[in-house]
Amino acid sequence: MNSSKPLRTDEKRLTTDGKLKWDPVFINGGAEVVFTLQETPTQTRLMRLKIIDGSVSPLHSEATTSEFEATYSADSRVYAFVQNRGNLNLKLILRDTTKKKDAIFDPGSGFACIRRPSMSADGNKVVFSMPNAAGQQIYLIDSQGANRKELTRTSLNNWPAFSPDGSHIAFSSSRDGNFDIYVMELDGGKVARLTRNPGMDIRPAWSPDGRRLAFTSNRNGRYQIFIMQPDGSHLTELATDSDRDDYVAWHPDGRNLILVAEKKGRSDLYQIPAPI
Amino acid sequence: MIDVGSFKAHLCEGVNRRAFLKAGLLAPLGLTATQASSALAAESKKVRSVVLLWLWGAPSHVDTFDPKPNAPAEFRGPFSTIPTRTPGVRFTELLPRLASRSDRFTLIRSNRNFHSGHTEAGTIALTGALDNAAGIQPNFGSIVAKGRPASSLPSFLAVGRGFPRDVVGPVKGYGGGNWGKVHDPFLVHCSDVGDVDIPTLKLLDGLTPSHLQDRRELLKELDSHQRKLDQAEIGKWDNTRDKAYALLTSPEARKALDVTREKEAVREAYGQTSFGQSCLLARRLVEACVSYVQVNWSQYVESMTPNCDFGWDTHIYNFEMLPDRHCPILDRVLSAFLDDLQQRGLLESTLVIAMGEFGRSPRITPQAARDHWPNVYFSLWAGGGVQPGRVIGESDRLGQEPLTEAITPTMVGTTILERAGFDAQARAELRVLPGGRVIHELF
Repeated sequence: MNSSKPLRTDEKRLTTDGKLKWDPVFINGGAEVVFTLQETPTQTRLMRLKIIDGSVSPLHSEATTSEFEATYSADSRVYAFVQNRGNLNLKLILRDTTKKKDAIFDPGSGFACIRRPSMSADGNKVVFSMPNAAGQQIYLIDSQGANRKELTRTSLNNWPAFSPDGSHIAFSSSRDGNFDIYVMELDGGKVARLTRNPGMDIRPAWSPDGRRLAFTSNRNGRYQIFIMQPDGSHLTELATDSDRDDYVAWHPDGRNLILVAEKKGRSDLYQIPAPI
Repeated sequence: MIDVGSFKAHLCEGVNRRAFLKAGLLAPLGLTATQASSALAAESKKVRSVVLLWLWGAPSHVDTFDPKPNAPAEFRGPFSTIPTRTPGVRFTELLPRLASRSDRFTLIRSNRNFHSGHTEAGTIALTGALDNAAGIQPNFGSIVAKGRPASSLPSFLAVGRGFPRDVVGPVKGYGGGNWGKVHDPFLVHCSDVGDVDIPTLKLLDGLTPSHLQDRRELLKELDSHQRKLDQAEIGKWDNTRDKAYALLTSPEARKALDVTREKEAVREAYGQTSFGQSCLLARRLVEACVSYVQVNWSQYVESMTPNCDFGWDTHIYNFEMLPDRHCPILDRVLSAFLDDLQQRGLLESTLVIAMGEFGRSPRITPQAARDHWPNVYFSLWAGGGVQPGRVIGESDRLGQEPLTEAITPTMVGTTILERAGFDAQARAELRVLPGGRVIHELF
């Protein structure tokens, strides 16, 4: 393993409120960040952060229910997010901002879970994770929430991520015992295992050029960010003084990362240079 | 009357006979002299405070403190195990800080409840009474508070946004039950940044500890509000007013409730979450010698379903929720709480219990999560004379049933009361928890 451990002296703190937050994603060419905020003890809200002035405002100011896990097309024209619709019932909303139109993928009534959507760069497809009788599987749908295809078959599979060229899906799976990172083709074929260790390897995130994957691992006893090539080689650990680094995403320039770091008990967004 | 004397003399120096009897005479439903005598006999071994971290919703035992690494995948789940400081004992990877502090507490892995519904099981777990058909028995905290004099702070405080509930209603065992609402806990809420408010006084718009420095002004405000209430509410109001008055006008009480007085490093150790700052508030209440504090983990961190109080009820997204939020928060906060009590010399005089109302189904459900499982679950015990660094009881290889004697809610309650100074005679005289046995293995 290549443990170059770059220092974090040039990290930039983007928020200062310390509240719980998750799943940042750059939009509009890196000018803004959308993330999930624990706004109140009873509601999460999607927030929009403008990098230029640090201002933060609700993405959907009218939302009265919890929303989280936003994912965008490369041009930020189309996005998807999970919305709570009642008693432990989650739905996927697909929103086209140009047409001002929503499509909904509804996993059903009662206890129903859909998590971790990831949108293709062209905005035409979404992968997500949803339970079935065999565990929790990765599914593919189109931008209208239709034409569902099951991409995995067994065990718990989660945190799918579209490669920038739309040809592969990186994801985590417990198929070999605990959560490790895998990659598969868009039809679910040619699955390759990229990590092998007893800790959790979760939340893979592709670099914009598709040549690297960042992910979270607790292999050293705390949640940290690692980066590797899509074949699992050249593993690099990001040095940290945080209690927890998690929810990593790439800047469109491919040279910077954004993550949620928990430092001194406070959770905030930080931008850090990606290791070369 | 609530105020029975000076803050320090009657709370921090223990309860002497005179003070105890005085409190009994003054309390509306106080103890008899015999009851007091019996309680005093247990004085020497009793703890000053009890703190229950109530993990409402029911945490998965298999994914936390009782992993089954050799079980089939459909039971085991995806989490690896890590060693603890206790030889041969492993937790899941989600609890590294607590694993490194397993010498600070003892774990019971053979708890058992007798109902699979939250509110019913919650009532059983909080009262120790298996049959509440004839009326709800009092919460352990209500019993402890009855035998302890209140000061400027109530003897039984609950920290939370409200009393735990699910969609069908509240857990009935949250408070005084048959003994009446006067024995309910006094509810305070602490936000993620340590702002404390008193939900039961929401009718008193604008009245908060920070706003009210002047006793006369407060009294005037309270009287004004009282006049607005109808007669049916007066009884409840009197009690509320007394408590509110004592709480809001006492410098000691205000000080205890002001989490922002803590050093920044201490607040950071607990973390900026409501549960974290609530546990810090609990430690301050322990320091102020409050007899019984119940911190309710409920709407603090579970917000996927707004305004439903699910807590650890992970029927869906169990395998996301635990690693993302619940376990990191519990791991940090409980570790900080135990460290803090230890460093301040408070752990030995404080009995700390962390538990939910039951466990979760060892077999993973079709929702890729875990449902209710009353047959076996865990509880964590620290301080208060508990011999730490051990595991008591054992569940079977799949985590479905106890292999050893089941530890029942009655036994849990009996043990709490015994350590709080209520021996068998005192319990009998109060007609609570008949037939329960103390979990002697803990001590």
